[in-house]
This record gives sequence, structure tokens and C-alpha cells, in this order.
Amino acid sequence: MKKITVISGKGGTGKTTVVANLSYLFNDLVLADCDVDAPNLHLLLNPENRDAEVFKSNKLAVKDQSKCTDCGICYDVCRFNAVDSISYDIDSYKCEGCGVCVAMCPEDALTLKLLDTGEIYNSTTRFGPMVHASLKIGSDNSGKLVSEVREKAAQKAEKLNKDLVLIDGSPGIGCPVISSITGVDLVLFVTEPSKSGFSDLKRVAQVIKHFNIPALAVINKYDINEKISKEIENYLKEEEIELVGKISFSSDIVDSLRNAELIVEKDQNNNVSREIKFIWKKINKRLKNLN
Amino acid sequence: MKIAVTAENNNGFESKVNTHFGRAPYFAVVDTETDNIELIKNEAANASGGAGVSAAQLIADRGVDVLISGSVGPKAYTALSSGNIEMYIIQQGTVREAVDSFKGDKLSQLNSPNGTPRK
Amino acid sequence: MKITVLSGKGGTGKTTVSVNLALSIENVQLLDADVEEPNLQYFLHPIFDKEESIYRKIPEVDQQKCTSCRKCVDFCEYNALSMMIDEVLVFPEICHSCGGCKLICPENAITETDRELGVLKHAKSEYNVDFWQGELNIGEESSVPVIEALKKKIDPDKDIIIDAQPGTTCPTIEAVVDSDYGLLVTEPTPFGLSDLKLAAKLMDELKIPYGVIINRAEKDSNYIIEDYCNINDIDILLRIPFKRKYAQLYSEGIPFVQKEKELKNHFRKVFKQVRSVVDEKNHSN
Repeated sequence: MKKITVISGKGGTGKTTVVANLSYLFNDLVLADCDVDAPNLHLLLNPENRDAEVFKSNKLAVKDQSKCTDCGICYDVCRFNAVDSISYDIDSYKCEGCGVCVAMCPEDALTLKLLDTGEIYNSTTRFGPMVHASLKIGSDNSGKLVSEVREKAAQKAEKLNKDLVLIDGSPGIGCPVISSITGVDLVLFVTEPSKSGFSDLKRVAQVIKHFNIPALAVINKYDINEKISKEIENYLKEEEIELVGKISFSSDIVDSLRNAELIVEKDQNNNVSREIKFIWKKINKRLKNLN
Repeated sequence: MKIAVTAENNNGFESKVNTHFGRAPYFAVVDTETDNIELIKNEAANASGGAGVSAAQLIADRGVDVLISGSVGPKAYTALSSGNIEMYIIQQGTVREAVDSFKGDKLSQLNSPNGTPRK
Repeated sequence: MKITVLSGKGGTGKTTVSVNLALSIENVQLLDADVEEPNLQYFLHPIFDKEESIYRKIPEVDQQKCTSCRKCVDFCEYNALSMMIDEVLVFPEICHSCGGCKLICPENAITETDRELGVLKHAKSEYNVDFWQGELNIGEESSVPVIEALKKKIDPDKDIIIDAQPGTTCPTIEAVVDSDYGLLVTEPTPFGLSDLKLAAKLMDELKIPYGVIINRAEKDSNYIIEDYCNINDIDILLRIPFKRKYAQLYSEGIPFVQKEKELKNHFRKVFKQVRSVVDEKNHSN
């Protein structure tokens, strides 16, 4: 069983669209949407039979008002400005669940409570099972929910004897991205030829470099700026990241997105479909060479 | 000596090996002198962050001398090294196979975190 | 007046809106609060004239005073401390700087040192915009302290535009929480709609007025966003059309209003509309 994570650093480069279209081409796999903050993959793959499980991980300090003597020690010790200076109420967005006020309260009026932080979903798509999740608004995305999604997807693949887990990774450069890629066999970068896109590619590539996972890349909308595309190609060569394809900028793909369709399914002769199919073939080749 | 092997499931010596240390569901702790095995649930796997550090603490507290796993993150590696716990690599098989391979000197030692070289 | 530009999803055009809006009005200060990946710099070509480090506190253990009681290890919610062969190890990257271990140590064996978390940089940009950029150091987890420090740079005599991190988690909340208005940027696709709903929900919870800007707008797809906004009584302040030319300008880091003066007028109009909503709200309070 092999695992591939698709990441982009910056949002909006086309990561989820690429994952969805690759799913059609792979046809029989397990999917994991690790963009738990703003999950999108389900919009293209229409999963069914959604089985939801509550996920708890963030903690919050909770006050038993009857024990509180308004001494204000909680306010004094809180490093996160989470205690109101007058009412000594706890701000649930700012509270990080560190437990200092709980430990320091002389009246034992505070406890740490485990909160509902999000939900994990087990669904099925046309191409196989899909594990996805959503994080409650204002929750801290520590990467733990991402790990849970990955773990469940891997278990599903083991149980059903599937050869591939395809992971739509978290955007950014922090813990959620790292949780998206640890222990996978291949990382696929989807990047775009803009100054900010290139800068974000470099940042995320630097972050995951020491994990020593073979990396591939796709330049999406490459013809928007062929000069920057070339700069990215040179960079990829220096970093030993294999460029597996370039996708042209096309309103056709925007049309297919609007209708929540997969371009490789709807219009196989389209340039973009051909380019994605080429990428898929290259990924397959790399997967075979991993052994 | 005591050996800990990261495991997928709770099936004694037949438990399947799990590759990543910090969030492995179980640790199989084997006493090589008595051949006694104990399967402990890895509570550290529930941590939001620092699962590897917490897992290292867990096995160090059990007096483990050797860890057999697939990959160990940088912080866990630092913690385990400080605790003089040696680390060896295994990618698949059962706990029994892992322990036997270790005894037969067949396993490579992990000398740096996330030790699998880029393919 | 403080306006925060946000989006439920990355890549919708938040940077585009922040930059072009700032360049269309006078007496403005622009803050880049997307501290994990600050991108406004690619459009402003700033020459930084000030740099300030932001620090957080990390525990340091005096091993001589330590009696190996392990109270600190057991207390830490983040597994940033461990005890290996009678020595306490500290893992700064996952430490949340709560100060708890220091308070809880019965031997006073823990002191604190500073660790750089990020930097704030200032520039008077190419277009004469007063610009502050927040940057989180790679490997650091918590953006919030950098954003808090960034907000302290707000010039009360100017109109402020804050470019927030995409999404709806804590760093976004920190950027928008004391703003007068939120500009929610979206695109007319199912992705854009799905993530717009998250951002709108956040703004409703924070009780801050907001309006929508549709980027990459197209006659045939706008309904995806328009229908939702109509039903929920949300103002759509601007539709920036999907144009290949805009994508090219964006890739080069050229703000659109530099090439299309007409667009400048549109952004000015957006600003005026926001101003009247905010004035009305302040008036009725």
C-alpha cells in the first residue's frame, strides 16, 4: 500500500482539483482530505453514507463560578490574555488550555475541559472510501485531526486491501502540513507561476526537506507566466524534485469546477485532461520504481 | 534487556509492526531474558503535539533499552538518545520477527531522525 | 477605520483585494497579518527600514537544583518537557510559553529565556503606502503573538487595512477581532461558496459587519455566490472579472489598479460603502 500527499504551500494553486481528477484516473483507492480547516474535496467527489465521529482535542479552562472569590490570580498568570480583567471570565477563542490558571487557582474553581473540536467523516465515493473532517470555527488546528484522518484512511486501505491512499494535504507550512506528509511514500507539489506562489513553494519545500520523502511537482496555470515557470523548473531541478507535468491555464477547468465536474471525465480530449493524464502516468511510473 | 517494538494491534508476538513511533497504537515491550511480552496502549498517540516526546517518556519509564520502529521524528530521537535508548529500523513483519531479527543482528541502527534515505 | 480582508479559503484573491484597495485610497496603513506566508511584499516591493524581533519565553532548567520530581513534565499539556535519566529536556518548538512549569517547580529550578518567534518589518512602499509585515519563523507554531504585536503598530490617524490568514482559525480571528468591517473575498465556484459560508459564520459570531467581494467573477458562475448572499442579506461590494490579463499581472506582482485606472474607482467606491456602514453602526451604538 502506497501513500501520496498533494500539497501546495499557498492556497488556490489547484491542489484539490488535481487530487479529484487523479482520483478518477486511479479509480480504485482510498482518499483522505487533510485540509480540515476548509475541506473542499467532497465538493468534487460527492461522497455518500457519511458516518460522523466527534473529535475532541482542544482543551479549555472552565470556571465554577460558585467557588470563585474574584482574587484575580487567573488573570495575573494567564499569558494569552484569555481572562477578562474585570469579570475574570474566560475567552474561549484566546484560551489555549495550558492549565496554568487551573493549577494556580487557590479555590480550585477552574478545570480543564476537553472540547468538541471537530468531526471526522467516513464516506464512500465512486472511486473508493474517503475520510474527511471539519474543524470547528475558532479551533486550533494542531495537526492532530489531520493525523486522525490519515490514520483512519490507512486503516481503511489495509482492511480493504487497497493499493493507494491519496491525501489532499493541508495548506500552509505548519504542523498540519507536516502531519499530512509524515510517513508517506511520495509528495506531490502543485504550484503556480506567480511570485507569491514560487515563494510559498520554496518555503514549504524547505520545511519538509528533512523528511527525505521523494518529491514530485506540477506547475499549474504554467502559461500565465512562462518566465516564472522556467524559474520554478530550474529550482525543482536543483532540489531534485521531479517535474511530472505542467497544466495550462484554461477557462474550461473553471467551467468544470463551477459544475463540480471532473474535466478528465467530462472532456477527455481537452488539453488540460491530456496534461493531467500525462501527470498520472508519470506518478504511476514513480510509484512502481519505489520498490 | 527490554525491547520495545511499535505495533499496529494487540496480538502478542503476532502483532503487526507499525512504522511510525510517536503515534503507533501500541508498544510491544519484550523482556529478552524471560521472553515475557506486554502490549501497552500508546497514550501519547492522542496528543495534539509532541506525541513522539511523550511516547519516548512512556517507554523510558518502562526501563526500555532498545526501540525497534520504522521512523522516529527529530524530537523523539533527541529524547530517546538522551535516555540512552538505542533505535533500530524495521519496516514490516510481526513483533516476533522484529525481535528475532534484532537478536540475529540483522537490523540497521537508526543514527539520525527519520532515517530512511530518499529513494 | 479598520478593515480586515479575509477569506475562508486560500487563493481566492485576498492579497489582490488588500493591495488594490490600499493603493486606491489615501492616508492608509497596510498590515500583512498572514504571517505564515506574507505575500503583500510581492506587490509592494518594499524597502524595509525597520525590523523588530518578537520573542516568546522558553523554560531553562537548572539541573543542579532539579530533584527529578517530574512535576513540570507531568504538568505540561504540550509534551514540551521530558525526563530522561534524571535530566529534564526542553523542546522549544512545541512549548507554548505558558510559564506553567516555572510556576509549578517546587525547587525554583526553572527560569525563562527569550526565543525569537517572528519579526515585524516596516516599509514605506513604492506606492507610498505605510506598510508593516508580520513574519512567523519557520518551525514556530503560534502566529497569534506575532499578529498581536503587529496590531500594536496601528496608526490611529490612518485608515487600516489588515490582510488576514486564510481560513477561520485563531490567527484569522486575532486579525479581525477588533476590526470595524470584514471584506470577505471569494470566487464563484462551489469551493468559494463553501468556504465563504465558514467565514461568514465566523463574522456573525464575532458580530462584526461584513461584505463580499467576488474575485474571478464570471457572468455564468456568479449566481453561486449571489444566490447565497441574497438569501442571507449580505452585500456584494465588488465583482472583479476573470481576465487572463489579471492572472498575468498577479503573477508578476503588479497591482491591477496600476494598469487599470477604472478599477481604482471601483475600489474607492467599496471603501466609501464600507465607511457608510461603519459610520451608521457607530452612530446607532
